[in-house]
Amino acid sequence: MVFSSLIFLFFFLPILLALYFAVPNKYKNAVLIIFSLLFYSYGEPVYVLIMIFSTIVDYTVGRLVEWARNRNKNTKVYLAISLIVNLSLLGIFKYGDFAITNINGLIGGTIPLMGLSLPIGISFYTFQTMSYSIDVYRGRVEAQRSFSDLLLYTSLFPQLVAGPIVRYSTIAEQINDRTVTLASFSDGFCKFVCGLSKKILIANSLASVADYVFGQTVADTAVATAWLGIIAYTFQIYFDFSGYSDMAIGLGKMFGFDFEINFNYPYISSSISEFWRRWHMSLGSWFRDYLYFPLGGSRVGKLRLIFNLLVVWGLTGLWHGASWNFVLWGLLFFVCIATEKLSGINTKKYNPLGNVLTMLIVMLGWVFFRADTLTYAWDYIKNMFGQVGTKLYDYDSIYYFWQKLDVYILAFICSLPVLPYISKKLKNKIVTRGFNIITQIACIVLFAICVIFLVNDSYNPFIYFRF
Amino acid sequence: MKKISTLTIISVIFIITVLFLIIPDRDISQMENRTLAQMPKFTLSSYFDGTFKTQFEEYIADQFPFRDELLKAYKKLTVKKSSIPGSEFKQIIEGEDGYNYYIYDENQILKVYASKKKREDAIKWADKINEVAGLCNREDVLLMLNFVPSKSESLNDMLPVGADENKDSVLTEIIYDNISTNVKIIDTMGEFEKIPLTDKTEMYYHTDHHWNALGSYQGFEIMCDYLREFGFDADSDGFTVYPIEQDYMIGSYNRALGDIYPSTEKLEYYMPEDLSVFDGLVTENLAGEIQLSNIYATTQIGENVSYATLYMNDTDYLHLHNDNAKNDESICIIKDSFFDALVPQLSLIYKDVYVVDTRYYSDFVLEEFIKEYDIDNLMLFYSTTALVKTDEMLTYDIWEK
Repeated sequence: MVFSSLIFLFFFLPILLALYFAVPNKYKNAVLIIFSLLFYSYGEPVYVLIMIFSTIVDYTVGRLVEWARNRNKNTKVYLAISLIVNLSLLGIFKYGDFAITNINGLIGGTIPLMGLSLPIGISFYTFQTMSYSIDVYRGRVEAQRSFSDLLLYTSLFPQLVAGPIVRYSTIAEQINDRTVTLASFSDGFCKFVCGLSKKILIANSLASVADYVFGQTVADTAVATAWLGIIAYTFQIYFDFSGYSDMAIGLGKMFGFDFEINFNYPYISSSISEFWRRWHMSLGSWFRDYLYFPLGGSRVGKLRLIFNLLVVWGLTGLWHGASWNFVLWGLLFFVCIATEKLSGINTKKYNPLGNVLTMLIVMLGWVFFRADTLTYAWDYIKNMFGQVGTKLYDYDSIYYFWQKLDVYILAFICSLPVLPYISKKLKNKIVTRGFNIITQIACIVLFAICVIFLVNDSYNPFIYFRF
Repeated sequence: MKKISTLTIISVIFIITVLFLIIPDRDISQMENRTLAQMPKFTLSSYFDGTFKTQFEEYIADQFPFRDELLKAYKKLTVKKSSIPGSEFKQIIEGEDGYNYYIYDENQILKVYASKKKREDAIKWADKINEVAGLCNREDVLLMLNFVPSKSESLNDMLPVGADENKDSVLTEIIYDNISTNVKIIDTMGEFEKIPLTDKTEMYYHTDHHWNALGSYQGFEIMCDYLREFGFDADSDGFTVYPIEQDYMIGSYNRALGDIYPSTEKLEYYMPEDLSVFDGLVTENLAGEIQLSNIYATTQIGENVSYATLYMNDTDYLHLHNDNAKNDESICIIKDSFFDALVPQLSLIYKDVYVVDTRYYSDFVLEEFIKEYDIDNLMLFYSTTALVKTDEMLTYDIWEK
């Protein structure tokens, strides 16, 4: 089930709200677990068992680690079980056929493909459950004694299928001790509507441009159209994913959970390092804390640093999908970040030229991300720079420019921290109040428009669902 | 303030949910011209194989309260009124069918085929036509090919900059270059090309992709000229206009745009002045005998006039037998909906007219049909809109298996 659907907005959500706020506190978690499992099993009626299995394994591992620690016994073996099981699940379902295809290609073999479909959200929830086991092993959190409480953490529907990757430590206390006030519920709901609008009004609108352009052969795509296509995709993926994160964070807040932000205006970054501090922050910090730092981080020699970065960014690419496109996409960032780190460029101070260069690299990266094959991606990039011999512009360029101009402008403005800037600058109470009234009227209007769009076209999957 | 907006929206959500549950489900949508999804039956197998989920979501979307109003609101919201200096762009709207529609003015909507015409489509058509030609050669059947220009093709000069380069004639030229010389071409496209643009704007419905009565009559005149060249007795004289009192029709373009451009159309038929020429005409479809008033669909016209209700709805098979026809021969027409406006006229020329729409005639095998009905002539009659629907149009078999 997706948040931006009529069934979620007008059936799942109202029924859940009515039940959740009607039952006494001691049953609220049970209601959330049942609805979370319903939410997931609606799209994955069988694979829900994998998610429950993963939770059982990590629950058991957590208890065993504490048991072993209290008896001064080796705890590593239990952590290893968690890592092996979770990574095996990921390996089999996500990378199995990719590995077989490559092995067949290398040795000329004919090993049959498994043909397994990817369980939705497996990359997210396996990383969450692994973070739980690792944190218990490190002694940063206590093992959860109640299986149902750990199941609530794993299955909590707002963040289950496309993040953010919420660490157990972030919400451990809130599982059994949280309050929802009308004010916090409203904050959460407005955040949800904000995310819904990002997804439906911007991401979906620009998806039609990106889908059309990337559906053409490169030879049929004019230079200007190729640029429009990748600009559209650049905005689409940001508003699609950050919209989902906003909805997840908002829904979490409506039920008393505080998730950390996942995006912080990444397109204003002046360097690739900064971009990754602002883009999919929960993934970046996961790799930092559970892979990069254990490898030694930056406080090592240059060669070791390069190795560490290569491992982290190769795996970051691979996390996004079982395809060489994603690996190459990750390695592009490895090269950029290694260069920035080794050259000592100040990646924290804003500079316009750095911003332009960063965005150019990010956009080239998105070509690999969006294209079906490496060959297509390479040809597409050549076409962007007029190296394929296509027309400079054609009807598609003119049409998609003017037709979506308002959405491009809206997307551009919303990519900048305009609203936080205005809020910060407002000193006068009356003006501030007026500004708040306008944003709340906008919230109602945006919700109404989103419903109108949803009735017209109820099919709008999220890009990050396939990861 | 956040509390007020939140409570407002949450209240609306609950009200809509309740309305959904109490408002009776609708069977059809007049606006969308289709049947609406009904509540699917829940079974464990449909749940596990995902069909229940898909059908349930279709049901929710189709039966959503105020669906028609919301669809119209969507179209109004998404209409772009670009006024770019020096640009011919007026308004372009994406229709519910995914195509782009160019609103030239309130009375003239054109479809823009954004996707590039593909040479491989033309080759597929040419290959199919050559297969048919081979069969006709063997069975001693005269094969004729008649491509009628689509509205966007005819009024191409009205399309915005750039879009006018994407012509259907790119495909027809490839087809003509690659088909057997045995195929007799009725060049309606070429003849229409000679007609001034202002005249051509009156030959198509303003909010629909079909030609209107005048356009189809012009097409009939051209066809008669060619048929005479091929040695048949054919003439288009003696026809007159029979106006229809209705002046509003739901055009296919307007339907795709949520019916937001109601426009008046000149609705009429071109029929023989002397209707007695149809005396003795026997018409049947697969269900049995039907009347002339079903073909010139004077008995079907209700409030919701469309091209389909003006003539017969697209039908799999139709046979017209006219003992008073000018030629004592049979003809089979494999066609798309443009031919619907010419069905009765052709029965004045050929004694037996068999009309086949292969999109609806499942298991149609041409060789079998030619032999069974003793076909003397075969005409492939398509509008050029069909050329971008290759997979839909060319599914029929030529040979018996």
